Formats: sequence, C-alpha cells, structure tokens
Amino acid sequence: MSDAIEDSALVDELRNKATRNLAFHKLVKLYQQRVYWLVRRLVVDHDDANDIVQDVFIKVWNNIDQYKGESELFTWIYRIASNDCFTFLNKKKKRFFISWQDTTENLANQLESDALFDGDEAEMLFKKAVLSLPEKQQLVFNLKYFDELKYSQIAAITGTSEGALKASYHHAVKKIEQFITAH
Amino acid sequence: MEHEDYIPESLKRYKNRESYRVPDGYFDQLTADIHSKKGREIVEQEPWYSNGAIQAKLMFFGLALILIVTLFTVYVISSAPLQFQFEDSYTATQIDSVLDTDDEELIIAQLIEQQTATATIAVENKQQEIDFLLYENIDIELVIEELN
Repeated sequence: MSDAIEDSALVDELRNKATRNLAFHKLVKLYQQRVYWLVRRLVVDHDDANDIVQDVFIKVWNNIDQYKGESELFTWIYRIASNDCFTFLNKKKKRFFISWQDTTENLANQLESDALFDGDEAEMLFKKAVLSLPEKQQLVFNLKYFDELKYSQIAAITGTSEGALKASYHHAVKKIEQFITAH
Repeated sequence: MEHEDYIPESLKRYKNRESYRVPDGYFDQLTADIHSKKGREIVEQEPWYSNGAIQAKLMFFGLALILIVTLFTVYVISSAPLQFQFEDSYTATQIDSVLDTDDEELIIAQLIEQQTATATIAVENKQQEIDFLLYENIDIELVIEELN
C-alpha cells in the first residue's frame, strides 16, 4: 500500500468515532520517533522535546478535521511540530529577554551539559554549527540532511518555494562548513 | 543526487549517527503519555453535563423538583380560603334545589336568602360577615343552625 493511500485510510479512521482511538494509536506509533527527533534537534533538551511532541499529537487529534489531504500526512504533522518548536524557542527568548544569537549560545551550552548527548567533540561541533543557523535554515537543513526529504515535501512543511529552499540549504551547508573550520 | 543536495565530505560522517540519546524505553513511555494526555484532553473538552452519571442525577433532581412544586401547589390550593362568587340574590327555587347538599357556597346563599332576599346592601353586609366567619374558620353550618 502506498503512503498516500495508507495516510488516507488512517485519516478516515481518525475521523470515524468508532475507529479513531485505534487509528490514533497507530498514528502515534508510526510517527512519534520521527517527530521526536525533528523536535529534539531544534530544541536540544529532551524534556522540552518530550513536552512538545505530546502537544503535537494532541493537536493532531484535535484538528484532524482540518487536514485537507493536499499534502502527505507526515508533512502536516511536521508543520505543526516545527511551528510548535519555534513558538517554544521564541517564548523562551522573550521570557529571558535574549537575542537569537544568545539563544543559540544557550542551546550550545545546554548541549555540553546534556547527559543524553553521546557525541564526540567533532559531533558536538557539528551540532553547535547547526544550532548557529537561523531557525528556518536550521529546519530546512535538518529536514534535508537527516530526514532526507524531497524539496517538495519540505515546501509543504515550511510553506516556502522549492527554489528558496534549495538556496537556503546551500547556504546552511556553507555556514556549517565555515563554522567547523573556524572552530 | 541533485546539485542542491550536495553534502561535502566533511559533513557526511554525521549523517548516519544520531548523537542525541533518549532514556531506555522512552518511546513506549511516550506513547503511553500521549494517550494519557489525550484522555485528559477529551475529559476537559466534553461538557460536564454530557457525563451519563451527571445526566441521571440531573434528571432525578429535575423530577424531584417538579414533584415538590406540584405537591406544594396542590397544598396551597387546597388550604386556601374558599373564594365565593356571590350573587346579589338567589331565587327560592335555586335555594330549594340545593338545600339538601353540603355545598358551602349554597348554604351561604341560603343564609343570605333567609335574611335579606332582595336588599343588595344587606347582601353585601352579610357577605362580609360570612367572609369573616370563613376567615376565622368558624363553622358556618353551626351558625346557620343557630340562625334557624
């Protein structure tokens, strides 16, 4: 069964009162890990990521009727997740009156003290380089580099044209290279 | 690979290894937490009166309230003083036809007939007296007997 048909069947089950609980269980099992890693890479802290992922699935549960089926189900879920991450990071900035640059430094510091980070020094540097990118560029890079999504899929998530996404990814790669070289 | 997908050699090594870690058994716990949160969400979203037990209690309370109001109304009506619609006079035939009944209104009419069959003022005075008797809960039949 193709992903589109599988998604469509799952959405139909989610909209049916008799099957929605089981369908939601399937949906969570199917997407929770992908959503978690997307969120974790953006917010770094495991506990924050855990809270956001739970909220994302509750939003999916509450708003499934708003999913129009124009894009793949997971891109709709990713869109909710990335929006939630940026909302969370922006709230954090406002709460502590800090700039994006300082937020990036905070996240990098958080990474160094994170007991749930297993990387070596080079991996740490790479993660810091990614965290130094502006938020949307960071999202595009993660979706392309780690999730290996097509630009059309990333476009559905970010609402940006494919051309702009290609440029954004290219700039992100260059910036990461420069960051690693400079450190 | 598209040109735009280009990843330099220096960045390729990080691609297939996730350096973030999660606690053991985390994703099973996450599934459970999401379901638990969903459960709470459903309860919070449902109007409080949609709960079956609460509906039954509300229905019982409603029926009890209706019963109490009905009983109170019946009690008030039955214990209220009888309101009399007096005519100025009664004919002898009318009185005769009911002499054997216990109907209070007609007994009073009879009383009026006996005392002042045609005088309106007298009837009104008598009516006031009767109202007083009723208000004081005095046995009208006894009064009639005395008058007779």
